[in-house]
Amino acid sequence: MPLLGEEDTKYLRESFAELRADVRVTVVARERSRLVLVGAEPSGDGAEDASAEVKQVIDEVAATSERIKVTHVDAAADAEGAQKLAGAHLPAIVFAADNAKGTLRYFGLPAGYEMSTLIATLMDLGSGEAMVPPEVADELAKLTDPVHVQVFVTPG
Amino acid sequence: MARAAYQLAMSSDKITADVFEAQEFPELAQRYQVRGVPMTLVNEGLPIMGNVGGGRLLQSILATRSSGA
Repeated sequence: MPLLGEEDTKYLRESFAELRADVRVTVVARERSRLVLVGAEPSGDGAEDASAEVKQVIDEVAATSERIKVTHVDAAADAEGAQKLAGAHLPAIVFAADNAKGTLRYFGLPAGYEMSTLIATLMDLGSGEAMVPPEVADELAKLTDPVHVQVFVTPG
Repeated sequence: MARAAYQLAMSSDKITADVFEAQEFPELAQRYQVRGVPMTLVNEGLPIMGNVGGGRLLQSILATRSSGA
């Protein structure tokens, strides 16, 4: 059963028609069925996470625009790749585009208000444009050390 | 704040913006004592509470430049 309704899909198609650049989205998630097949502990950390829903919702969103390219990384099959992309937390959605210099990741299922954030971020990434005025870009260019921003949200 | 964080991360290769759905990561919510959302941390410093805008976040990010000097 689709997670997005017909109205949502129509809205996304119309919005994403404005995308001027490709957006690369990598979903890092666990294949629960595979975990069971290899005899791993069925319970424990993450066994009940939102991996399946995240994969589905991203696939449904991406299906509304040819500009959105999705790659799936299965943490059960490629633990090293998953770790490199997402660190210690799953499920993760990793965003990239030619106008994105840093690292952008969403952990968990984007629902409710956070779905709007996800759509807005896809629009930003697909705009092909700079997100800050030149004077702010100049200030940011003076950063010499890594900066880790963590934002905690709820579906709301 | 999530979108602002992403926009700033798009603008610098030094910035990583991680957004967490707090209910799905209770151990992180507990570790950082998340009492309300959105709550934003820059390098695990003092939390920025609420939707106070990208300008406030930018200030905190730029302030990291001098903190290590």
